[in-house]
Amino acid sequence: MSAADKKPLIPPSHITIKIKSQDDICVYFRIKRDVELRTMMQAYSDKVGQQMSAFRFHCDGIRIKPNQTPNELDLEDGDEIDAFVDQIAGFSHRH
Amino acid sequence: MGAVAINRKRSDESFNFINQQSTNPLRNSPYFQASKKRRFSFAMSEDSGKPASSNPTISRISRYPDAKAPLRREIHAPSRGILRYGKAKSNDYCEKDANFFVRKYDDAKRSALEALRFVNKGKDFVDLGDEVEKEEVVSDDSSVQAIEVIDCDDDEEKKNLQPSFSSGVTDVKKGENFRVEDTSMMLDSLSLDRDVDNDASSLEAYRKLMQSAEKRNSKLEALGFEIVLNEKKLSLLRQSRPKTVEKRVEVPREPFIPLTEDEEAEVYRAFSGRNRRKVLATHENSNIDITGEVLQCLTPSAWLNDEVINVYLELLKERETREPKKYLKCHYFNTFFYKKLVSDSGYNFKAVRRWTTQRKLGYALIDCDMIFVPIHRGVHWTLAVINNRESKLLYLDSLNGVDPMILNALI
Repeated sequence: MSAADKKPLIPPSHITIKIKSQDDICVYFRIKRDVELRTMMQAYSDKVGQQMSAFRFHCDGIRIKPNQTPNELDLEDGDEIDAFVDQIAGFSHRH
Repeated sequence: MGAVAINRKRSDESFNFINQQSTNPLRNSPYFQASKKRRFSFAMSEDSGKPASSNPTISRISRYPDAKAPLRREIHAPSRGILRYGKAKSNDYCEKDANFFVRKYDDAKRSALEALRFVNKGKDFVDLGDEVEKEEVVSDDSSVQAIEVIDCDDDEEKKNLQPSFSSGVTDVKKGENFRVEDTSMMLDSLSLDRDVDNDASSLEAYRKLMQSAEKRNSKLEALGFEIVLNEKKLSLLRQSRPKTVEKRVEVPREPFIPLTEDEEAEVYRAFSGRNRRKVLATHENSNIDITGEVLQCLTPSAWLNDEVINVYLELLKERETREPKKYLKCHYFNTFFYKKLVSDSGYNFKAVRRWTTQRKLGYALIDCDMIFVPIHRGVHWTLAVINNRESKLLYLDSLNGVDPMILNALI
């Protein structure tokens, strides 16, 4: 089986995480389970070319903080993280 | 109810009676041939009408076949038209007394109308009583649900009220009878006067009319007082009823507590520019950091930030879990839910399927009374509410926008 052949290539301490932007552009990261997600977020922001504060990372509708690890969030291999851009809207009487 | 029905019938009768009476004084006048004819056609014989008209000219006119048609048509119109017609074709006899009859007729009509108006008032009053009785029926229904103690009070009140109302109704009845007699007397006197045909008697009739009117005034005042009294009682009753309703549906109302000076100073510090980078507060449950920069969006005429909205919704949720009895069971989606839901060609349930699992929320979404979905529309925030309890969807937009697509997606 090819799948069984490939599996041993990924060490069990690592997982693959998909970060999906609002435009459905996916970026895959392979990170360690006990490493803070800050590194991944920073890497994603650098790749997209924006500040990290511009993104809100959500996993299944729950906000993820940079100092959390995949273990804390019970993230599994192939899980998806949403990267939302900040939303700002309003109405001012000056317009 | 029986009393009211009888009363209504009676008022109708009296109404008819008045109508008949109003035609009575002009029975022998030549200009009212048509109305008289109609009246007699309702009665047994038509021939009985002809001897009554002693005037030879009128009998001659009535012999013409084509003269009848316009008269019959004008039955529906006010009788003044008939008068005019009579005038147009009048002979010497008619012209001589026409003015007098016009005046007489006007008087009679006015008095009849007056009587009619009073009868109408009486009817209004009866309606009022009717309404109250209906209300009683309704309250009887509600008494099954309401608390017994309150209901007893209500019933007692109603028992106290009912006799007064019924007495009021009987008063009206008496009044009506009295008035009917009055008007009939009045009209009789008028007809008598017409026979005598002189001005002194008309003056006398006028005086009689005045007297009867004055009599009625006192009666009217009493009636007016009754109406006011009963209306007050009705309003009291109505006031007492909503109270019971309010007791059943508790209204969560939290008064705004003014901030102390220390708190105000803290707020001022939070909004000042020095704390732009500093994390002022961290919301543990939602993992949202609130920095001074984010708070800047709460200043007047600034645009709202998603962070602020999400934190606020989380706080609302916390308040609800803290006191579940006081508030409805609600679920607040964050501002990204809708974006995710409609991300892929309009409707993408799969993307948000894992957002609302029971394991994650701790409760089933279907059990919630209200579900709030904040929606970000580029430059404008709106809110969709799913009212699970009443099976309703609400879309709230401060700019009066309507978007059926949003609600369709939420169904």
